[in-house]
Amino acid sequence: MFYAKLAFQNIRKNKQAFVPFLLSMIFLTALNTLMLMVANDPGLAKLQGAEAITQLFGFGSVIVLIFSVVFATYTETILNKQRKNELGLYNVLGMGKRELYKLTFFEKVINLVITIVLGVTSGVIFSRLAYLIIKKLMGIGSEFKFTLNTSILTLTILFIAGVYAWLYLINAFNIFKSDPIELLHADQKGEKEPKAKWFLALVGLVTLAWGYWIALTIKSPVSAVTNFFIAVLLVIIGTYLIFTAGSIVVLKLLRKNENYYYNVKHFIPVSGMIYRMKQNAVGLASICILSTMVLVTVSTTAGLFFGANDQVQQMFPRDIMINSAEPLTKLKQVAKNYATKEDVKLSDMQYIRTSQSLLFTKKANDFKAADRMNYSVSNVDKAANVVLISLSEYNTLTKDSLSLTKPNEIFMYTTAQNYSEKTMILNGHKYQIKQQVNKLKDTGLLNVSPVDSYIVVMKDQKQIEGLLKELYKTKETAAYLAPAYQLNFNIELKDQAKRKAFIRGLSKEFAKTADKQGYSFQDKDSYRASVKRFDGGFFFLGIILGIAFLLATTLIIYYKQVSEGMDDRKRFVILQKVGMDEAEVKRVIHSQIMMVFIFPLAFAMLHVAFAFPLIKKMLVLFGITNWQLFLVVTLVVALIFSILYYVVYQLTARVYYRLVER
Amino acid sequence: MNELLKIEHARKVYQSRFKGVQVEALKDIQLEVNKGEYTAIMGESGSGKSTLLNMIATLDKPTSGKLYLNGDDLTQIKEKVAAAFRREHLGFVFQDFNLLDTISVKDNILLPLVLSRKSIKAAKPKLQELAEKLEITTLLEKYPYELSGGQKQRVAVARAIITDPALLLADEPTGALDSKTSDQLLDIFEQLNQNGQTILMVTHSSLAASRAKRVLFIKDGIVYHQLYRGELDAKAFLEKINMTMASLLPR
Repeated sequence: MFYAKLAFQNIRKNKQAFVPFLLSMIFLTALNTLMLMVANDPGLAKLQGAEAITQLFGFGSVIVLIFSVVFATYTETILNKQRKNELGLYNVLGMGKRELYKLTFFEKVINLVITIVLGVTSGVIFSRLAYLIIKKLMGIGSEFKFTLNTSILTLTILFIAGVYAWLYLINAFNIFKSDPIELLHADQKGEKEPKAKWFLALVGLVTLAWGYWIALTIKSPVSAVTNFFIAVLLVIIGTYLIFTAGSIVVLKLLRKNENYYYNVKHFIPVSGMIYRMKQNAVGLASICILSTMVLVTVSTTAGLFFGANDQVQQMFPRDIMINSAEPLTKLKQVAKNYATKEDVKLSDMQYIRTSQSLLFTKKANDFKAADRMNYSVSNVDKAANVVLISLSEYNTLTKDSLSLTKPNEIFMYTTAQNYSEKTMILNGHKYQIKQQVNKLKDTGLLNVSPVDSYIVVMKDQKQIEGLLKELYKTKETAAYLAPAYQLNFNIELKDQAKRKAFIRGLSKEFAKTADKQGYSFQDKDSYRASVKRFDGGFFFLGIILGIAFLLATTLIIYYKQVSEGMDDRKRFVILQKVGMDEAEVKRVIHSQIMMVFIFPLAFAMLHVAFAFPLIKKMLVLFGITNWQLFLVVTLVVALIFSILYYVVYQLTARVYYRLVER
Repeated sequence: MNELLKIEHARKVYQSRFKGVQVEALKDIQLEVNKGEYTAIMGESGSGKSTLLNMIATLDKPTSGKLYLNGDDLTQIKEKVAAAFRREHLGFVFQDFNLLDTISVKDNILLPLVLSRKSIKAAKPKLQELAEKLEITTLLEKYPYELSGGQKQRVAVARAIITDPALLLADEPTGALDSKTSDQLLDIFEQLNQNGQTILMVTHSSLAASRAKRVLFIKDGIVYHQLYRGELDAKAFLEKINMTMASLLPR
C-alpha cells in the first residue's frame, strides 16, 4: 500500500510531467473510441458499396491504432527523460530497482485508470456530439445511429491497457539498464549532434519522387485505385525519410555556408533546428502525414458530396429514362396518354435508336472489337466505348441538318480528352472523320464510365448494320447486333410528392401494357436520392475521420510545444545573458516555431497537390467529371484546414512562450 | 579619464511576494573601478554581491542610486539598449559556464559577434589567437558537453573577451572547478589583466580573491571594507584577506 500511496503522490506532485502525458493518453483513448465506434457503426452496412467502405474504415482504424502505439511510446520516452532525476534520487535514498519497478507499476496503474475513465467518457461524449452536430448542421449521415456498443468499449479498454503494459515494459527496461548516478545526472548529459545521413535522405527523395510520379502518370481511374495505395505508401516512407534524414542534411549544408549561418536571423534557429529535428522529425512527419490524410479524406468526400448533382445530371439528362432492345413506340404512347390523363406535361422528349454500347480496344486511331464478357480489368486503360448512330437519327436528336456524302465519312463525338486523329479504323475499316461534333452532351447516350466514349455518326442504318454483322460473327457475340432504343423525357411537375406519385403511376402503367417486351425504367428522382444518401454518408465519414486526424495532429503539436518549451528555456536564458534583447528572443522563438509549423503543413499541401490528379481520376468512377468543382472544394478544405491549424498553432505557441519566458 | 565604473548610493529593495515584506539586498553601495584594475568582490551568500553584479551587468536595475559605465548612466537605459550594451561593452564568465550545448565550441565563442552582427571572417584570426592563448585550439570543433569543467570555463572566457569588452565580469568563476583548474583559470585572468583587461570578479573564495589587485568586502548590503594588494605576493595577500574575513564574522 505504501507504494500505491507514494505513486499517487508522485503523480500529484509532478504535474508538469504527468499532465501532458495523461492528456495525450486520454486523447488517444478518445480517438480510438471514436474510430472503432464509427468503423463498427451498423449504418455503414446500409451504404451502397458498404463492403469497400467498411474495408477502408477498418484500414483507417488500424492506422489510428498503430499511430496510437507510436505516439504513446514517444510520450513515454519524454516522460522518462523528465523523471530520471526523480527516480535517481529515490535510488540514492535507498530504493532498490525492485522497489522502483513496484513504484512505477503503481504509477502506471493509476494513470491507466484515469486514462480509461476520462478517455472513454470523453470519446463517447465527443462522438455523440459530433454525430449530432454533423447530422443537424449538414443534414447528412442519417443512416448512422449513435449506439453504445459495449463490446467495442471493451475492445478499446483492452487496447489501452495493452498500450500501458507496453509503456511499463519500456519504463522497466529503462530502470533496469540505468545506474543511480546516471539517473541523477540524466538531464545534464548533452545530446549528441545527429549525423547527416546522406544516403537515407537520398532514398527518401527518390521514394517521394516515385510516389509523386505514380500519382501523376496514372492513366485510367480503375488502375488508379490499386496504384493509389502504392503511391500512398511510397509518399509516407518518403516523408518520414525526408523529415528525419533530409532535414538534417539540409540544415547542415546551411550551417556550412558561413555567410548564411553566422547571421543573427539564422544562427539560433538553424543550430536549434538541427537538434529539434533529431527529437522531433518523427513527430513532424506524423503531423504532415495526418494533415495530408485530413485534407485528402475531407476534400474527396466533400468533392463527392458537392459533385452529386453533376453525377445525377450526367447519368440522367432527363427525368425519365427507358431503355430497350425493341422499339418503344408503344410505351411512348402509353406515357403520353397517362400524362394527358393526369394533366401533366411531358417535355424534351427524345426517342433514339442507336447501336448498343460496344467495347473496343483502342490504339491511337485503331479500334478492335472486344468481347465484353472476357474483358480483363488490366486492359481497361486501352478500352473504348463505341456507339453507332445513323445520320438521320442524329439530325432528329440534335435538330441539326448535317450531311454525309461519301460512304466512309463519319461525324464523331468523344469524351476522350484529346482525340486529334483525322481518321478512325474500326476492325480494319478506315473512316474519315468529317468533323468532331459536340451537341451530344446532354443526351442519354453517354455512359457514366471510367472508359472514354466515342459516338460515331454514320451515313445510314444500313451501313451500321453491315458493319455490325462483320464485327460480331460468332454466336456468342450475336447479342451485340441488336439495336438499342432509348426514350427520355422530362416531367413538368414541381411538387416532390406529386412527382413521386406520377412516376410510380407511370411505371405501373408501363408494366401493364408492355406484355413481354423487355425494358428498363429509371427515374432521376430516386437516383438522386440514392446518390445523395451515398455521398452524404461518405461525407459524414470524411468529416468524422477529418476531425479525428485533426485532433491527433493537435495533440502532437501540443505535446511538442510543451516538451520543447522546457528544453529551450535554458538556452534562451543564456542568450539573454550574453546580450540578446527580449524583442530579438521573441523574434527568434517565433521564427523557430513558424519553421517547425509551416514545414509539415507546406509538405502536406504539396502531397495534396500531387494527389489531386489521382483523386480527380478516381472521382470519375463515381461519375464526377467536373474537376473545376473538385479543385474549388479542395482549395476551400485546404483553406479551412490551414485556419484551424493556425489556431492550434497560436494556442500551443502561447503555452510555449509561457514556458520559455517564465 | 581613467574611471570605468562608478556606482553611487546604489540601493536595491526586493518586494517579496507576500505583501508588506521587503528585503533590502543592497543598502548603499559606493564603488569605483578604474581601467585596468582587477577587482574582487567578496561576501557571504546573501550579502548582496550577486545583486550587485546583476546590476552592473544591466540584468537588473537599482531601486535608487546611480550606475555609470564609461560615463553612460546604466539606470536610464531601456532593455533593448541594455542588451546591446551588454554585447558591446561587457564580457561574462559564469559559475555554471552557460555555454549552449547545441552549438560547437567555436560557435559558442563566436556567438556574441553574431549577435552584434559583426563580420565572422574578420574575427577568425582573433578566434585562433584566443584559442591558442587559452589552449582550446583542439576543442574548437567539439561540443560543450564533451568538455571538462576547466575546458568549459576557458571556452567561456574566450567567448567573454572576443568582443574586447571594456569590463570582464566574472561571477564565481571557480565555483564549479577543482583547485587545479581554478588555479589555471586564475592564471589566465591575471594574464588578461596584465595585458590591460579590466576585471571585476565576484567570489566567496578567498583564494580566488587573493589573485586580484584589490578586494572589496560586502556585508549587509554595503561595501564594508577594502584591501589593496600593493606589493604583496598572492600568499601574503591571502592571509590578509583571511584575517579580514575572520574579523567580519559575527561574534
